[in-house]
Amino acid sequence: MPNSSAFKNLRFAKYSMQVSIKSIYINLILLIIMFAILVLSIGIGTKYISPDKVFMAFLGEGKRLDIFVIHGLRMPRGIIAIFSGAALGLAGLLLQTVTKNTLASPSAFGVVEGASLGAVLFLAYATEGFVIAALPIYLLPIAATIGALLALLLVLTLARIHHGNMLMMILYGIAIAAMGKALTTLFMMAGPFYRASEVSLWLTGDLAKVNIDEMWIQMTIFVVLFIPLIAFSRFLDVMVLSDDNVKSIGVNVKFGQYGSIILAALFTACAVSFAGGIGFVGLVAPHLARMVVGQSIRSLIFSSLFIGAILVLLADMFGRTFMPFLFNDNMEIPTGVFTAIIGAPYFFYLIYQGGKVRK
Amino acid sequence: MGKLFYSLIFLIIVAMLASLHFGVTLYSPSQVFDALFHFGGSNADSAIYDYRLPRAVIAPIVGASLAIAGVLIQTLTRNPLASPGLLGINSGAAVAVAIAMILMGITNQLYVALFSISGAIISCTVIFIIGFAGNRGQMSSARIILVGFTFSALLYSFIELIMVMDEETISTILIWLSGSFTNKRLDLLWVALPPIVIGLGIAFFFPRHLDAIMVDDEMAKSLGVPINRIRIFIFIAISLLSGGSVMLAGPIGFLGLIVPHIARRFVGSEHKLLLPTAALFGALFALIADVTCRLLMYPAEIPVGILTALIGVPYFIYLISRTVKSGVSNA
Repeated sequence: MPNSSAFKNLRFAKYSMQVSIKSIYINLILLIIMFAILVLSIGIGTKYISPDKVFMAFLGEGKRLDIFVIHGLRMPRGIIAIFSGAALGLAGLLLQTVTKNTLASPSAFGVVEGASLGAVLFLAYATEGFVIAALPIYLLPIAATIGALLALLLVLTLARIHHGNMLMMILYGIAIAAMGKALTTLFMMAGPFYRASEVSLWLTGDLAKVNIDEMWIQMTIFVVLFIPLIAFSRFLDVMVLSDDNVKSIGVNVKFGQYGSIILAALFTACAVSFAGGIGFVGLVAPHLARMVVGQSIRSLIFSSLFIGAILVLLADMFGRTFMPFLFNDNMEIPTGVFTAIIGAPYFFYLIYQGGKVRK
Repeated sequence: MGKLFYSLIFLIIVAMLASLHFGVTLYSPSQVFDALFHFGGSNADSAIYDYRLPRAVIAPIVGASLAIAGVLIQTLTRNPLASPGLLGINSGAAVAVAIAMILMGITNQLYVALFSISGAIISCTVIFIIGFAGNRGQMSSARIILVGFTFSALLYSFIELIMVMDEETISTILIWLSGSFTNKRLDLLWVALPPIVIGLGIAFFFPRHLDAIMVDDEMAKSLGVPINRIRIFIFIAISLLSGGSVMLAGPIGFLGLIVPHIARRFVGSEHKLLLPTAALFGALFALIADVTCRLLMYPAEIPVGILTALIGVPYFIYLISRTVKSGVSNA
């Protein structure tokens, strides 16, 4: 359904970032919520630090121990959670907009599995002491990105050959995902034995072992990817129309579609290579965003970003605290488990609703 | 048709012998023969008896039951892309088994089998409720696959949670989860065989009704087929078959997808012929896959589920492209 704001942007606002005032407020509120949760989540842990002390530590004041714990351990984790969630939310938004299918998500395109495969190959065969080459661990994102892009390329090529519609493209994605999963398991078993547990933990989505360097790298990648996203937003805005209509107003449909899909793959890799395969955020975040700010893509970009970040932050916080608080057990539940438990039922609800409407 | 059946049975026997013969150590045919018929207690005898024989017996059973489950599910959903693996029914059984064996520490195989089957039933129910409830019994083939995929993803995150809880077992679970016939004991069959036999029995009981359901609900009704009752029976049969086979060998994917299509190429889609042909092809396919797994990365062995996935995915892609062309699915 093309709504009025989309048309407004089309006709009058070629280069402006025109958004409604209301959605600016909503995005500001989301931003504040995100920061509140960040502060809370940094404070919660084996050693509780109250929010005011967290603020002090941000500014470099307060007790030394607090500063050390926050800067060295908890802040990188929180920030990486935020950027991973944001990247996944954006990837989901891009894919859902371009495919005009609200069921699309990075994992249903085989992108997550592709990135995982790249990362597993890297961990198993290219890190310290083992076979082919000894590369430093910070090159992992590159391996994951290559994997994600290759998977996506395969899906796109297949869909092109068969002129598939976008839903069929998801089917190809599922096929490639199955292939990626099988290969990942194969290489996990063929690789060094002690790596298997590490890799499998990483695949579920785990933020336990991040450090401050990774945080900076991820922030840089995210910012670099965000610039072309803004450039694409004009295209994304008209994607609510049919392909022919988009063409008729002089927008290059193919370029926009492929560009956005590749951008989505890059965002996914940006999240997956630091936080592991966190599922369902890319699916759910854009939906929640649409609920709060409506259809305008420029508002949606920011709200999907914030909501994705909030989801992953919350999942990480619960994952860290659930077992210690309830069972006095020091185990951490991987972030991906919580996002799946929240995300999957929502997905089924969507399918169910979709069916009802289509009657 | 007789010729096809006999040659399939012959090939299955050859494959079973090959399965006894090939492996990390090669046993000569005479050794195999000795172990089977003049059990003397030598090393070779007991190795063949304890390790090779169970595989040679379990593989065809699992293959046949997954193939039949695949035929049933493709008929029930009228969807050439459906299979117990892709719809998440196998994963449901697998999660239940993982919960039983690792979280609850159950060692009694009878209870594990019960868990496996109830896991299959639960996930079957969930998939069909979500898939069909809002859609008046019809759903595009793409959509139901997407539902199954997402449901599997949810289930796998549970399995991963279990794996995190118990890190020592990770590599064992990994092998089991990818589907494998390694290190199975024959007495597993005591608990896994009854549900499989019941499932097969149900499947073979009304081929004509299945034909009618395959075509159209209205037509089936007008022919006097009690559709809903038969649906429930098929539903139970699918759960029993995939629950039983997952309990035996873990979730082996794509077997239930490919084999029905191969069988259809040979005998068409009339269930009276299709079901036995699919069962035989399934058994043969599983045996060949199992032997190939042992030889592919000799002396290491890869789980059979990985091999079936690597073969199955290209075929799946081919099936999708055919579905696109014929325009069956336009969601």
